[in-house]
Amino acid sequence: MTAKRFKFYRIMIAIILGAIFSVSIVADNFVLPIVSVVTSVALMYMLKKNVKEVLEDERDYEIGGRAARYAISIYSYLMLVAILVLFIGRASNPLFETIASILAYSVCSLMIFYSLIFKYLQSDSPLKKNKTLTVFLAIIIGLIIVIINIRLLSGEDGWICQDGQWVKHGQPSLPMPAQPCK
Amino acid sequence: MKNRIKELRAKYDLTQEGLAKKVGVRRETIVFLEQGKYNPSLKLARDIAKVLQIPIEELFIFE
Repeated sequence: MTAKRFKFYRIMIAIILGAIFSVSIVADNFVLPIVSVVTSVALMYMLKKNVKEVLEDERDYEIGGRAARYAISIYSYLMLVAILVLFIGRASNPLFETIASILAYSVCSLMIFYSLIFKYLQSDSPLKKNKTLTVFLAIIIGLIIVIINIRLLSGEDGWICQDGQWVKHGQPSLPMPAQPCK
Repeated sequence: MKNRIKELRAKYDLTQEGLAKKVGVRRETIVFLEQGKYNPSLKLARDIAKVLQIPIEELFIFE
């Protein structure tokens, strides 16, 4: 397979994946996107293996590294401004505070991930020789970050669905959910 | 940093694509190298010098 054809397939897979995600969100189906992501990753891996040409080289890796660094810096600063604006405007809409919190935690997670990966690549860690252990530790760290985020974002005050009605738990900052309580 | 890649490539009747294949990079990387817009790694510099049969210090000229 040529590199050009592979790039075409890659774009097509991304478009199909985007469409599946949109449809799944509307249909409230969260199994379909997980299955499609796993399938597309496997498909991409198989397609990549069949490409005879060089797809990436050292120049691409160098540019990729710089692009990632710029993207993380720019994204973090932009989000910082957005978070501040949302916090300032929380009096006008309580939803702003939740959005700001989600953004703040996602930016922090991104920075932590970046720092950990940077440290790992920079150091002469014995982990580098053991790929299985590295992947295992990465998954554990990822899970810990996700759990901490969920715990911090869930909050103690919210709305609970009880006997077909939304009941206040504490002092929720958000208005009552619009979807029916089943 | 200047280099003599283009000159030596012509001498051995090698295309950019051909040289790229021999050293395992994309054609665009050879284009940027010839234009002096990219500094290669030591490994790539050595591989190119090997293909063009010239000592590395004669292929890349530091100014």
